Amino acid sequence: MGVVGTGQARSDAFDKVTGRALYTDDYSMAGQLYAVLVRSPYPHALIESITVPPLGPDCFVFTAADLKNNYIPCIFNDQPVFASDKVRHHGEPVAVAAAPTLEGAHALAESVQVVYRPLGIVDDMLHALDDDAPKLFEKGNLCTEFHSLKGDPEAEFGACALVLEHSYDMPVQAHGFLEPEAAFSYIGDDGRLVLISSTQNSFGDRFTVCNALGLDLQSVVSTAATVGGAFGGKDGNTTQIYAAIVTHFTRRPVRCVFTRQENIRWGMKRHAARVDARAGFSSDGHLIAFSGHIRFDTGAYAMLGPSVLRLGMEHMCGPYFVPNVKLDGELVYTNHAPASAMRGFGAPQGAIAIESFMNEAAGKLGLSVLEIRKINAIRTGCAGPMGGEFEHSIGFAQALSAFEKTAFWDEMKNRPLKGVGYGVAAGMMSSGLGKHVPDSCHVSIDRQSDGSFVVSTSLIDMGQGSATALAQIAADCLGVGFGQIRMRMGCTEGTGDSGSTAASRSTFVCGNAIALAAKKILGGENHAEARFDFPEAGGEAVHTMFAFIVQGVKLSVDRADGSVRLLDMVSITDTGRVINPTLLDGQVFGGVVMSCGYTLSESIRYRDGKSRETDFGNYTIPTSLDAPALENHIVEVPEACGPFGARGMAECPTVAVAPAIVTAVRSLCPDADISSLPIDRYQLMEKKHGVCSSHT
Amino acid sequence: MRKINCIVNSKPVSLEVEDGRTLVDMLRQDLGLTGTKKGCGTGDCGACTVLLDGVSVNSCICLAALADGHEITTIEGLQKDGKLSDIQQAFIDHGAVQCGFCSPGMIMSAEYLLENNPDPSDEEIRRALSGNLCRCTGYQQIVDAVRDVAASRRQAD
Repeated sequence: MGVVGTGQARSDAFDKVTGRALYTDDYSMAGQLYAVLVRSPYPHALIESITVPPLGPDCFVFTAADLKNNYIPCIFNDQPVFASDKVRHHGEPVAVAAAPTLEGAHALAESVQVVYRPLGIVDDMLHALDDDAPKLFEKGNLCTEFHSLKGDPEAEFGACALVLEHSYDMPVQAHGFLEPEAAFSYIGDDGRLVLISSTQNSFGDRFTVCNALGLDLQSVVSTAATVGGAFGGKDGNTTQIYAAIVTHFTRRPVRCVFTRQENIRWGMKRHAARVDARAGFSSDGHLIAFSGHIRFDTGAYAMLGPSVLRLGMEHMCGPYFVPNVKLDGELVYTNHAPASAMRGFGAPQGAIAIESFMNEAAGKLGLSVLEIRKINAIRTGCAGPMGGEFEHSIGFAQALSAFEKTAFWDEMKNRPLKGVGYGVAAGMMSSGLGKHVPDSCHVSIDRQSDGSFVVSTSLIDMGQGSATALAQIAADCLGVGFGQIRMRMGCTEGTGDSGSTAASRSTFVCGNAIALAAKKILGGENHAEARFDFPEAGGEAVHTMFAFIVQGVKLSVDRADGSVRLLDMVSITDTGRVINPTLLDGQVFGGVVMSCGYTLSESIRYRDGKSRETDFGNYTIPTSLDAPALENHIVEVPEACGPFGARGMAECPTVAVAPAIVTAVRSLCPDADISSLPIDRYQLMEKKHGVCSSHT
Repeated sequence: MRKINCIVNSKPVSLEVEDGRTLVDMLRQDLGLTGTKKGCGTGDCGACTVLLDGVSVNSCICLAALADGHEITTIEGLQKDGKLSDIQQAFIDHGAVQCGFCSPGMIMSAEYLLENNPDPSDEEIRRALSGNLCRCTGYQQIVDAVRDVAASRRQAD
């Protein structure tokens, strides 16, 4: 009997519950320096001069002038390593200071004299494209735009029995991983620069470092330490380049660890969004036409924003077939800290519109919220919203049917509790990096002299449990016990570049590569390598494989103070064959609660280009008291090309939580206008005393 | 500088620290006990939770000087004769660990809870752990693990 499908305990759990696991900040070496950034106090300013004071022994400052190439490689290459002529957001790095103590490094950073000439700022993305808006770049503040049209939605809206329209303002969300961004670097025994970091992409980090410093790729070794959560916020440069620069020039060990304040104010973020959507239904509940417009605030630099925008548009119709679709999106620059990838990658921003429409239409057309979703549920072979078709397995209809059998649904339909609000929503989330982005995984398997196997890949376990799930796959492919497999992950040595650990892709793409390599081992080889390419979407579609979720929430609202108490949340997840149900539950529960925070409490608010939230004291992520009791059930609709039938799912649980909560809150507070997140509690307070107007 | 004499994980320790040194920095940097994590430095996240004379504290907002003459237990001190504590084991069994960065502090808070309340309700478990943020798990499997340990301990009594 194999180990796939069992709740095998994590291979890294022992080290983590005993404190032995080594995170980046746990490394130290004799002679190490601490690196601290010199950051801009202005959100938008010209730099007139940078003056470094006379440096004491063991003190160092580096700026753009020290670099071969002053940009961070990404989609548009518009972000400098160090601002040199202009700063575009508050806290933008201008220089790095290093000293033997952390206090010394901070003092040194403060002593660097930078003369700025402040410029007008773009503090509101809705005005970023105004004629009189200050320009971040010469080309203006439109970073990129995207448009898609299928059928003729404008004409069809006129023929629809019901047309719904709504706009939403969605907040900036912080990833809130517990381990702040961190990097540690030193010169190894062989003279190469070794970079250990909290990262989602070791090869990407190596390229960033070598590009900036003009080094050959083989002169840098990049590896992930134990990573304390990432959720997209460590996909790209955070601290890595700064540690490496100091080590390169000083030949000393260097640690660069962000404070929580740096993380909250200047770490990557989920894009704020303005969503305008319209949906037209026939009298029998068919979704006939949809038009959606999204504007995302990417902050001062594009980072992964263009991809986030495209994915957000692609997911805007939700898991429903719509014959007529118009999608328009734009990504605009503002003088805010840059947004980039965050779990859900643009999908949660749009999901609130379509899912709210579904619930509202169900009520108006006399259908249940599950019936209307069943009527419109996508199935394999359906045309996608942007053309192309859904080619892979889809268990959405099955998930809806499974939801009908839950105790939650029975209670909601047949014996709802007084004073309790119920809300249901559904979501889908793609897996894979998408068309035009290289999406391959390299794996090697080595038979050891003791009969065990080492499986190597550059993909990284940031906490999601891929090291365990992939070892389960390897064990079953090789026909050995789980204990016979050791995973070696996250290093630029040993295997090829498998890209970023992102896009809910690891289990699928790496599991398949492991299966290919294992076949060679079973054929008698002691060392085998294999590469698996993620299947590309056909037609105009960007992504081709999806996970699905149906979620219900139960909550109460205290109308005296407007507070929402989450009671229970139940999820039905379709991710193909499940490799490890315990790990799957953990991904669902974590994703759900992350989005409970998105809906009810989390928001980075900018005033004059500076974030008002500064740490976990005022940026409040859910605690164990805020989180509801959680339940997850699975429907297994296997994927023919997945490892043991699996599809990726890590991001899916974040997508539909907000509309479920918003629907439940609306049922209790029909007078509240909920058009922005997090839900404004003053909107939920009974307005009989007239106290609310001053707050809204 | 100031001399600190204390007991850390049942062993007497004597060292000199800077006046402003925090307990978490003393543990991690001076004593090499890196199992205790630093997640915020402001007492908000609980990753640095240790027991000071059996009481859970955020070591990032305690001065090292507080430890002078007292006893500290960190995550490294929970194993007895190489065997995991029942809470550590339950965290593994229930999938209550993901990235693991909150786990040491979370486990210390759970130890404190069950030492003082052997029969907690779910609400009491959630309240006792509410000073320990976790972004990965959504807390459900952590609550399950703690409830399970409480039940096993009561059964064993």
